[in-house]
Amino acid sequence: MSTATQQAPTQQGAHAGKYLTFFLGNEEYGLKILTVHEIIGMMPVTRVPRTPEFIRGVVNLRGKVIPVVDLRIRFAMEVVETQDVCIIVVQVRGIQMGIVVDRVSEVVTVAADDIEPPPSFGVDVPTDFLLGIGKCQGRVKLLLDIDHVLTTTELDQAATATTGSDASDAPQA
Amino acid sequence: MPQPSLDELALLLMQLDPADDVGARRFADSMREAADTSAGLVPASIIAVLKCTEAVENASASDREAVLVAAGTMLEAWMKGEAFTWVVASRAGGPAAPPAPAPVATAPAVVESTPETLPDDCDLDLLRDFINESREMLVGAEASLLLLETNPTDDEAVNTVFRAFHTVKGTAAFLGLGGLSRFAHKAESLLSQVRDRVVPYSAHTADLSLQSADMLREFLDAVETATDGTPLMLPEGQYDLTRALEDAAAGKVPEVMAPEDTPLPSPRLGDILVERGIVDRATLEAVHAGEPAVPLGQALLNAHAAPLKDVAQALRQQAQQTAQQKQGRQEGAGAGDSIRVRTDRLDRLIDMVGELVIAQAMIGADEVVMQAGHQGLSRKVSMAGKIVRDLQDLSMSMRMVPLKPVFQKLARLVRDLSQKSGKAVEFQTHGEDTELDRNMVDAIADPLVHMVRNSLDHGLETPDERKVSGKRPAGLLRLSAYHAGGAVVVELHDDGRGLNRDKIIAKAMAKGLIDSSKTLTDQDVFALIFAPGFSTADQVTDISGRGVGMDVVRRNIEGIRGRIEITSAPGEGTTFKLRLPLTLAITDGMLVRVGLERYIVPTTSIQLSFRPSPEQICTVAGRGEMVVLRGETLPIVRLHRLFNVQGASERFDESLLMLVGDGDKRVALMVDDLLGQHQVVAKSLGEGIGRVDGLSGGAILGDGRVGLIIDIGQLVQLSRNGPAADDSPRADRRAVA
Repeated sequence: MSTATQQAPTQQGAHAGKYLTFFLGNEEYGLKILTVHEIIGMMPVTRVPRTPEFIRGVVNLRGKVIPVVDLRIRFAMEVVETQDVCIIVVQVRGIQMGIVVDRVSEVVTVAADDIEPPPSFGVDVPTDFLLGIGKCQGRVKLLLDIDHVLTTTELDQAATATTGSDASDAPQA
Repeated sequence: MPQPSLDELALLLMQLDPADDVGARRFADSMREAADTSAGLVPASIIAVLKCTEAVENASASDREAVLVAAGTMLEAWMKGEAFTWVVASRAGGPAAPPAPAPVATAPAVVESTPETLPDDCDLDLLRDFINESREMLVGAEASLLLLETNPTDDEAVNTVFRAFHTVKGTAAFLGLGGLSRFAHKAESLLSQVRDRVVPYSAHTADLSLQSADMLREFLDAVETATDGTPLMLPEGQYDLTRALEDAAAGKVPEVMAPEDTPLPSPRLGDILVERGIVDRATLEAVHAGEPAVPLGQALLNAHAAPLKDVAQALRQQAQQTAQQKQGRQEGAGAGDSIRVRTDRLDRLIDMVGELVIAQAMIGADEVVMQAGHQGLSRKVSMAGKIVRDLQDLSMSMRMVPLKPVFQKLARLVRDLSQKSGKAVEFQTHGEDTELDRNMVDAIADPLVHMVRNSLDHGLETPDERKVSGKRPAGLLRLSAYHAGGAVVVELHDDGRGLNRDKIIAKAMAKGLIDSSKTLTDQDVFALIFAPGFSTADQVTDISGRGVGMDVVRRNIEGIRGRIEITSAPGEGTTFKLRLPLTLAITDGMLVRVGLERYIVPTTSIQLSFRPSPEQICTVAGRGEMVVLRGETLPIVRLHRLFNVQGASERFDESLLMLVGDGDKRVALMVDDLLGQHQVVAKSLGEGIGRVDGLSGGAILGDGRVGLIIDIGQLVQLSRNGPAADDSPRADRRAVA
């Protein structure tokens, strides 16, 4: 581990805690449990035109309309519809958003010592979206900085709105 | 000399006699020493200490007592290690706009305001209730004060104001808010003198009373800020205002009087007739000159200058307006008991009722319920549905509040601006009981303030200018609100200069907003004033002219899905018409199908729908497809292209065209099918998505899915500008991580 990528111990400590883990493709990710609002089964998503491709659309969550993003598209992965696909509703700073995931795994506790800072190369996911790499029960989990993911989504959306471009996507009724 | 400890300073202070000059100087010296040698004192605190010592030394014997008390408080904070300041109150008068009368007292007002803290045992809930109730009472007091302007002998109004100050004083004292209570007492004393007719209600008294109301508001704001533990900073200027109040109560009138405000004229018959277009001013003057001793109405009839019916009607209107002016006091809109409810609870209740409606609709649409053999069940579900819908109407109505408070706030603003600018203004309001969704009332308050400022600053002329044009010296500013066709209309009319079309065009060209070759209707020209940074004012006054106001106004109004229309005639005046939906919550819309997707088009934007025949379609080079309908040619917007919908019909013989939009912004929208009219609860698309051009929000449809609501205005704009408007294929863009 080079000193350049070494995080201050306090930062790793801040990322310790409970995570909800889920699968995207072959990789396992973790979301800080406090950011998770609920988990819902896959439901019909209404496509919203003139939005970036990774925004699948919106769904009806008990009367509230919330946007749903597909992280696989966001991270430029292959999109394969699995049987266990579902939506994790996260809430950060008052913004609620759904994330389509392949399969929800479990809730794990990750200790500060088991967290390493994200490497600066070799991973498909841009490292600013990661809080760090956690090791638990022998498996590696990519700890997501969902705050960052959501914020950048807004910025991208704003950019799309002004350029007026659109992504072609299979229509969802 | 050994470094004096803070304890020793405290001791010195306690023993100090206010009349002891020598002792005071010694204390000041010691304080300075302590500050010099004290480690960890931030510069701000050191300055505070020095100011304190100055004050102690320079205060006259009579003032020193108060200064020493303040010094004691500061010392305590210092000893506790807390931050402290020594604030000097400004010498200028109180917060309100009119020129302050020259101060009568010659004693130096060096007493500074000091930070108090809220009493330790103070119950925060009680305090918050107190703040809210007091604010309400002050609103009522202000309304009465404005009434007293035109009717200085209105006892009821004086009582209302007195009661407000009196109640604030009492409750504040009970809650341990000494400063607030003492001030309210001074304000109350003046009013009691007025009530007992010891002191007449003059323009000066009016100013002081309004300033007192403002000051009490500032006090309440300060208390509110202090509830989270920050020290309570008493408002500046309160001592000067207090002194002015004391003098006024004692009958002392300042040397320099504020200029007498022109009392608002009760409506004159002649003005009413001219306004209605029954008679023009020249004829009016001539008739009056012919028979000066005869009442105007009679003179007009004698001269056959106006029909009897119109004169009679005008007389009735005059009587009504005079009565209205007298009667401005209504104890709250709509009599009846009321109860205070927390707004977040109310909002949750209303949201839940909305969800209930949807859930009930889903039950009603369920296959099992709709089956032939289940009529009993079906009937029961219907009945439940009816009750739920009634519940929804009721809950929607709870969101509605009258516009009266906004109108009142504007009345106050007009009064202040009128004095500041030296222009006499008659402010009329109509329909203040018109109700609007609570959230929307907040949203239009600021735009209205901007518009009123604009009208007063740019629209209305000075009394001299008006005399030259033959207008009444007092400008007319009329604010009205009414329901019209499922919308609420708020109109602001001034009888001033009107908008100068040429000046606007010139300014717009100078800013590069338009090029000269475009032919613009009046409406288009007037709409230019909403462009950011636009202002035809030659000078920036501090009222308006920075060109910021109108841009914000339009954005705010469009943000609540409203529209602004402007009509204006040079020399006659300008009217701003705000059209607002009754409530943001419910949209009446037509569900349409495009491909496999469903969209909602607001009914108010739809003119008609039809299936075009081949002869009606034509293509114009460079402008795309057009349809001819009743002699008009309108551009066709292929919704499936704009929204990139797969599987939609692209042939005209398989589609429908919907004529949408209004004015010169109309288009024919191409859709596959109409699925019926629905009333839906409009919801935002969520902050995660942000603003999507062409869509105003989403709604939950009967089957539980989300239908997207189209914003016709944006759509038309999009079709004109966006790259998707033409035939060329759009670039496929993959999101880059």
